[in-house]
Amino acid sequence: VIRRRILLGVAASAVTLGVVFVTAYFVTGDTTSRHYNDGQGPLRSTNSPAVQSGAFPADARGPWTMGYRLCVQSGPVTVLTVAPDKTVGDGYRVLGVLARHITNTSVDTPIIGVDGYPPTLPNALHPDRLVPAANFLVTSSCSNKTSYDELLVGWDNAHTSQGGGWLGIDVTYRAAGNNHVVSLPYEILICGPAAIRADPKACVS
Amino acid sequence: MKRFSRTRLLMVAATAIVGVALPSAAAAASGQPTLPVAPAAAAPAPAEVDQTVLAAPAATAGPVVAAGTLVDAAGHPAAGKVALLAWPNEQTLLAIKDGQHFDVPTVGWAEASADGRFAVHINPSLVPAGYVAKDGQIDLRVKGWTATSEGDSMLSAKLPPAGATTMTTAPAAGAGGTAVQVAAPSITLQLSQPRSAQPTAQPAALTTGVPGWCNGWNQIGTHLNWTTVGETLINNGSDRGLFFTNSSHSVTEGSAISYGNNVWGTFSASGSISRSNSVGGNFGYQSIWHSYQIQSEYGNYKFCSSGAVMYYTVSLIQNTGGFAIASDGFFTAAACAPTPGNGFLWNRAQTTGSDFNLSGGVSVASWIGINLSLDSAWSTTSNVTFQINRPAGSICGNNNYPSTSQRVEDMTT
Repeated sequence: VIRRRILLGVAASAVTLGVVFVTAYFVTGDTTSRHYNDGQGPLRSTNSPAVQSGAFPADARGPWTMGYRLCVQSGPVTVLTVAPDKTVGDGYRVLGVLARHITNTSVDTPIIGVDGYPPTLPNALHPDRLVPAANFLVTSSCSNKTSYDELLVGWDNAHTSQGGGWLGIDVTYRAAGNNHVVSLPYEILICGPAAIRADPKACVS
Repeated sequence: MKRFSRTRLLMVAATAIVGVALPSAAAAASGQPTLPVAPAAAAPAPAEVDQTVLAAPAATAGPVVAAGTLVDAAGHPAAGKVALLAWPNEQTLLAIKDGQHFDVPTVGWAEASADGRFAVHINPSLVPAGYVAKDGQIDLRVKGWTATSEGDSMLSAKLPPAGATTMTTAPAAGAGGTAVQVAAPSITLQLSQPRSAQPTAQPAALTTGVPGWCNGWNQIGTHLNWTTVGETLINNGSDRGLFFTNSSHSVTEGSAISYGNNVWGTFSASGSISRSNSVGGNFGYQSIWHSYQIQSEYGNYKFCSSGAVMYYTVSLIQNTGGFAIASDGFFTAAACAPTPGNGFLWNRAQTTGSDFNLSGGVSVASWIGINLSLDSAWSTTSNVTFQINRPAGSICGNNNYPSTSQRVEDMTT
């Protein structure tokens, strides 16, 4: 009798495990951390496959602040870290990474880039509140053209012979209790042999 | 013994439950179609299809080059037949003169089952010389029909090495489908046209310069068409704009089908054909508003049966390699953003196979007299660069921020 009960229990467990396995696989989603490209996942930027670069001449004098849109497909999300996806050369210096939230108007606009770091932003009368990018809460929806969150990367020329810079920006963020990374297709470069080898089109002059 | 049997029964039951669940779930996850076997409705073939090929059993030895679902005008699956018709390759099309007849042979067919699913094998022995490109690429008309309706599409496939039985169709856009591994659904072939009310005479306006009796496929003209592929809008004379592109060209082809009214109809079916030659160019830095164009040659063709025009088709013949710079106008900016200056370079590069929307397609209305727009599906790398030579600049988008806008321009201030 005991052996029969054991066998019955084993059989029942096998059935239960099978059903649970199938149900878990097809009903629940995978909730682990993911690495997204732009246009995927909760945090996004352009929603476009286009790669955009900002390249400074080898002899240009900084510093500068470069701006990149952040928006949420579903959110809000909290930025944890900002880092290059890949680097080339040694001819650049990263001065810091800030963030801001603006309501886009004709005098308070997003930036592609401006002189100085921290930046002198377009609206001098009502300077936006700049905060460190770490722990910045991104709330602007990707479908909203007025509410705008912006990542601000401080950049300078290290005046080396090679130039160089960032190829892609990786933003690690937390959304719905999970950490994810999105690789944004932005390049920041100081022109020179290293930058030209990495992206010949960025420094065409 | 009794206990053993009961145990075995329990284990078998458990295995059966799990075993039934997993294969069906796995099949659903894999996306592999289940092709039910059902008799198709008997229907006479359209005149375009070779009856002698249909009289033979459908080929199963050659590779599958078209698979998908046959649907009626309302989008519901339909049982019927699907045939493959080989379209001449680029060199053959270039040799055809206006008014000249050419063959579009039937090279395979298959039944579409009750759920519309079909998978058509090509019979290589039916493909004549001059229809397969050097790299193995072949353009195919895909013709579906039932007793009451018919539909068309175009697709390109690359014939596999001898002995292979599956292959991958070329990337395509629009109703012609997308790049797929055959043996899985690849195209939705819509039976958009009725099979009744045939025209009784050739439309006089379209026979100008076309001697002889129309029967089968005939070329009725060619046209060089310029497609705008990019622009640089510079408003400050200190700044410069650069555009360059490199493309392998795949064009979505419109197919006009006119039944009984003797005029060019609307292009109710489409597909894509592929040309392997690359086009593009570096248009150099410009300091005013410019758009950049490349040249392609299109052919327009008609199919007649017993003198009655049944179909019109416009399709790419070749990319000529020509490119030109044209004047362009700026737009009212929707959103602007400041940039650094003193030689700062802002570049936006797009490498996709998606449609290039800036041109709004290839306008051919001016030369064939119908309102047709061919979407030009460019497998393209397009680069737009602005060089800001002032101490600081500004770039604007026409419908959004510059980073996401469809069009961008360099602003004066």
